[in-house]
Amino acid sequence: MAGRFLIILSFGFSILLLGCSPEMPVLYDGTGVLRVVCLWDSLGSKVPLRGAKCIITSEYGIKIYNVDSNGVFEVRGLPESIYSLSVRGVHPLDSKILLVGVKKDIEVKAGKEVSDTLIAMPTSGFGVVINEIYSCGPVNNMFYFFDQFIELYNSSDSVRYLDGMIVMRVSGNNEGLGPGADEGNDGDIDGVTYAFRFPGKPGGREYPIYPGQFVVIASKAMDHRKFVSTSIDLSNADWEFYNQYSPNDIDNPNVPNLLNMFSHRTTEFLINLITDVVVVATGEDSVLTDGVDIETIVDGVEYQSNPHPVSKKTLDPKVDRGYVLSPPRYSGKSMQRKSPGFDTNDSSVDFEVIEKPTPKQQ
Amino acid sequence: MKKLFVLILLSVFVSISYSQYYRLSSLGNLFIAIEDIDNELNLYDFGGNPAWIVEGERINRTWSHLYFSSHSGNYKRLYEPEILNRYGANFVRVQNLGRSGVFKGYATYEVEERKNLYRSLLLYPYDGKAFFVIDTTVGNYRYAGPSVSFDYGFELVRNLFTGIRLKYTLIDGLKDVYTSARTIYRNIEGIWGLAMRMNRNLSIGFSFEFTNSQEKIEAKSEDLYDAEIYFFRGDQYSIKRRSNLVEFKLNDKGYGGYVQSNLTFDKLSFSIRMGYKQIGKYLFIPYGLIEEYEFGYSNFESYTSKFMGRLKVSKLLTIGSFFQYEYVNTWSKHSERNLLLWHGKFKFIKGGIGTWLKMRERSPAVGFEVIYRLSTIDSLKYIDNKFTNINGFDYQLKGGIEYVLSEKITLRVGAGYRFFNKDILTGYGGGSRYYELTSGVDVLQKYVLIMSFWKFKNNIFGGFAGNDFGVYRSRNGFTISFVVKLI
Repeated sequence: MAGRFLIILSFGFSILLLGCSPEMPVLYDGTGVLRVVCLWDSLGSKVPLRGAKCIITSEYGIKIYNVDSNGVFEVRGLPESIYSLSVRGVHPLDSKILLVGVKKDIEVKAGKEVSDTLIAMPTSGFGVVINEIYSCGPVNNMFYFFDQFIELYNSSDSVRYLDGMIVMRVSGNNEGLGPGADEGNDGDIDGVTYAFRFPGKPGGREYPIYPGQFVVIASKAMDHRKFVSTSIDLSNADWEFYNQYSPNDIDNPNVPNLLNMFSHRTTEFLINLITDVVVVATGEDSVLTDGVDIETIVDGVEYQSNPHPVSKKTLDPKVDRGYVLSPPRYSGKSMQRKSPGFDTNDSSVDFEVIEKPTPKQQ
Repeated sequence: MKKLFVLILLSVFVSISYSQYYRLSSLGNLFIAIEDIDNELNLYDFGGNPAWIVEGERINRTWSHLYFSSHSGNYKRLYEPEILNRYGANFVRVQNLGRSGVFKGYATYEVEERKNLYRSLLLYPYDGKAFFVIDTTVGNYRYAGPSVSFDYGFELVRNLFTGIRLKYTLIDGLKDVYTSARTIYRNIEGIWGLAMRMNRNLSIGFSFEFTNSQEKIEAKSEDLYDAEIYFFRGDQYSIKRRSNLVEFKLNDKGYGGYVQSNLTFDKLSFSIRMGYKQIGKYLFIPYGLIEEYEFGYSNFESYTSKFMGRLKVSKLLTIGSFFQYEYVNTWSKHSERNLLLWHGKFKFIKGGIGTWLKMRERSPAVGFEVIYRLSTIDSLKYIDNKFTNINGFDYQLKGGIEYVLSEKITLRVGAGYRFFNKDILTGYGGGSRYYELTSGVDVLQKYVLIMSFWKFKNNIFGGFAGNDFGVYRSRNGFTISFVVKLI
């Protein structure tokens, strides 16, 4: 009797156990195909973009591929994800002109082929851009990060003027859509916490920036190597952020200043080491309490420490469609455009992390 | 009952345990034909059913065991350490409680040092899941912790037995360089068994087992640096996570059921064990304050059956045979998208024969075994576009001699040789070889010293390791154990 009970129990349990195993998925990852035809607009006709490089960005990082002689690149065996593409080639007649195209939010599904066409545009005609942001601080163990700087670059072929332009840190509006978002969709971005202004008035012609010139604006224009040996010398910076309302901010008299526009901000201009938004505007909109008009923004860059979905992009896409993945705190690394002034309005593809900051040079 | 409670407490607080198979390990790990107190063909030793402890463990005994083992070399996989040291102490106590049953308690404290470990943060990086988690440095990991366990069984009604086994393991691990990752691992395993003596010759049993473990890892920024951690799906695609503190955890939950049977005639004994086990492995990454993201899931199903038979030809000669079949079906998925990353099917068929012989009553006993194994692996790693089919074989030759010098001293030596046409673990092909030498001295039947030395080597490569052609790889190891039989 007990033996029979044991046998029935064994079989009962076995059937129960065999039914416990979950179902295996029926679709395989790593089977997506992406096929993109890269063209550029040559006097109204679309021509294959030969010999270009295509950069694919997703949650799995960045990969670079070559475009073939027909302007086509094809990648097989991609994991399912949302990809961004940027293609960069050189104009066949003028090597100074870059041909750049960007495509975002391409969803590659498992087992499916995605075909798309990407039209590249010449990018030599941009004006002043943020070329480098050094925020993370040098290699040190004493929390030193005062050697921050922002570098501007004139990527146009004509002289531009910095008179009255404003450099802003946008880190407020955390209760709303986040720093740099167009809250209420009223054509301005919100959350400006610091705003420092070049001397002069918008439209003035006293402070030129020449084509191909780099301009470094230092948080503290001094030789930081005196404090941390791994830091950099910013005593010869072009400009310095100086807070005239701060009792502690030290001014280098040999370097001209950008002055603080907010009297209630009494600390010096510093940006977050790994996550922040930096915006440069013409200064035509100087009432910043209600946000800064997007029309007046010259350039804006958001940087974050983690990709989606861990971090959320907040800067309005009309200013910049992406964000830079910042280097670690106190790593001595910097964020710089891949080539001087290279601007597709998508920092995810325009910027790269470099081992050391390079003020006044690429 | 009070006695039982005291014994459980004893096994919990005395942090030493488990010294089984000391005799066999000094005899080249012979197991087919050799009879030993811990290698009997019954539902307990062979079948792993704690209900049969009442019949399988009749003698009260207490052993303690100290050991040190070390191995090093480049015959290893990427996320295995260059040097691995293990040392610890065990304790085992068997107490016959009369009509209340039999209790057996174990306690262990083990320290494991993994030196020059390349980036991996996982306690078991190669347990078959398609996920790896790494940081950016090569460093040393030190794991340490206790494990306590007990078996208890009694006769429920006449000829019907029941028993349980519970095991709890706690391990604390720390990496000595950035990212100074800390591991807290806990594991609970349990077996509940029923066994029935059908008649004088036949006994059958059934056991149900569960396992539940959690490995929690925290990688913190050191000085002012952020911790930078890579979560891999497959071998190529990883997601980077960077923060002051990066934490994640792995949860394993498994169930299994086994049937056992033993048939014994006068000189002939057979045992069989068959079963099924399923384990689900989850990798979770927390985000926000309380939420978790399931990064991946791996599922394992294994079907096992093994058979062993022994024939006592005479008082001086025993012959035995062994057969095992194992089929493992494993797959891993991208949990959020419910996509298959890897599907692996593994089949192992293993058979062997052995003898245990004495020429005369007082002469040394000699044992010899031959074991042959066929392995088939069908690995479909979709995420990496890597598809592998391996049919491999390996064979083992083992020998051992036991010589009772006097009533006070017994000497044992053993040797083993194994040849793999393809090592399915590392993927190294072209003929890997394994050599082992073991020895042991038993003094006064109370103190036992065991030493073993082994070596893996391979100098012609193929397999998936591709680029390793012409590289000589080897791994050398040794173990020294000291056993004291307290009672």
